[in-house]
Amino acid sequence: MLVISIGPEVIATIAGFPITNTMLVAGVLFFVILAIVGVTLRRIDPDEPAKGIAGLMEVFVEFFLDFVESITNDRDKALRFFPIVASIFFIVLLSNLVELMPGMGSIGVWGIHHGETVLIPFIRSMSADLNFTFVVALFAMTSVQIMGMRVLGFKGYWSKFFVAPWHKPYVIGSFVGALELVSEFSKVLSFSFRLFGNIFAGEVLLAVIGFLSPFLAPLPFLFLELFVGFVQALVFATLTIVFLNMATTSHAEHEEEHEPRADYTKATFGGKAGGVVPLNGNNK
Amino acid sequence: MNEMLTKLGINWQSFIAQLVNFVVLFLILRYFAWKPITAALEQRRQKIAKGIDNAKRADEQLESIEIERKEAITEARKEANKIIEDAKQKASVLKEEKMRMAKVEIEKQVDEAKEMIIGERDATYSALKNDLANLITKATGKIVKDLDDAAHKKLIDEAVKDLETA
Repeated sequence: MLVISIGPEVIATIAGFPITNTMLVAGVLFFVILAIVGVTLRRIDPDEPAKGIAGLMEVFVEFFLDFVESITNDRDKALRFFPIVASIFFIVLLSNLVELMPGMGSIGVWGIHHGETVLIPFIRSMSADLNFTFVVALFAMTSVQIMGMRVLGFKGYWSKFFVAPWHKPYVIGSFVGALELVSEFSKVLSFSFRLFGNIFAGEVLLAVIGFLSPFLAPLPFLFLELFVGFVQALVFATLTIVFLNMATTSHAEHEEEHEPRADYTKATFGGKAGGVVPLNGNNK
Repeated sequence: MNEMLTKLGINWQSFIAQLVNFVVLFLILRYFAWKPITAALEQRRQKIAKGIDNAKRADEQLESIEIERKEAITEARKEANKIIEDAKQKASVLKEEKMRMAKVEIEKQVDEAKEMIIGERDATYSALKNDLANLITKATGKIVKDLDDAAHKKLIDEAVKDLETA
């Protein structure tokens, strides 16, 4: 009988510590990434074009760094965000692709699930486990807070959220700040449930299609899931970049107190100098 | 709340395991993958930029050398032409000078020769005149014996003078 469970299944217990199938996959993936890093580290050489896995990693870094830069429009910022975002993308992508591994859902141990004896698979994508997606989301949003505080300073960063009601936009400012603070927490949830939902749905889809028609029919769905896995990793990384970028850009109001970051009156918008109209209260 | 989390498959053991796993992976990737790769790429980028820059500079140098070479050649050609022109001019001047000197020499010689000829002629002429006078004196003396020598001579001289003026 087909077994579909939202959470990861426990396949063994070591000294009272339950080992789930996603933990097993995470461990395997850990060593896979370790191996990739090892190979890359040995082959990397600025004097020679790298070949094989190292070359692939170089290409990945090159493309991804350009991608980050295209969002931040700032090389330094891109270099700062890159390790966080690239790690997220890389790990999430690999864990998403585990979903497509042969043997997923078919190799495992027999166990009791909801009172029925069913096959509990060894392989389950980490992304189809809320624990993992929650960890990644928490990591991403924590990085956003830390990076924001590092760039803008403790006071500068938190003054975005806690706006005194006697300052310029008054009560509205305080209210918006509070909303922003709540949204920082909701971002964690949306991050984790987005990834989990997509990959878990993919797994269920593949399982159901494989159960209904084991031959040929799952093929297009495998391609679809390959695509979904890539896109979800990219979405996760892109959103992290965007949030990082937002967190490290101070509000226009604070720019008067700190040194100005950009002269908006000289900015061109649609080819017209000064086309950006300063918002209320920004022009003295 | 707790029941909901359990239903969603969240439990603290799993969470801790994934957290530790992820953070360690992040640190490994950060220090052993992204750092050396970006460093290598940056180094390579700089090297390539330097190489391109060098190539550009070499090209520029080559171009300037080529221009210099061309300039030198045209300069040399101009110099050579000038030298040849000068030589030609000097030669023609020299030629003219020589010609002029030769002409002068020739003229001088011709004049001298003329003078000599004239002198010779005059001498011959006067000698001839004397001889002629003597001859005539003697001849007429033989014919006209009665005329004394002085009167005779005077007569002849007059005759000769008439002859000369005629």
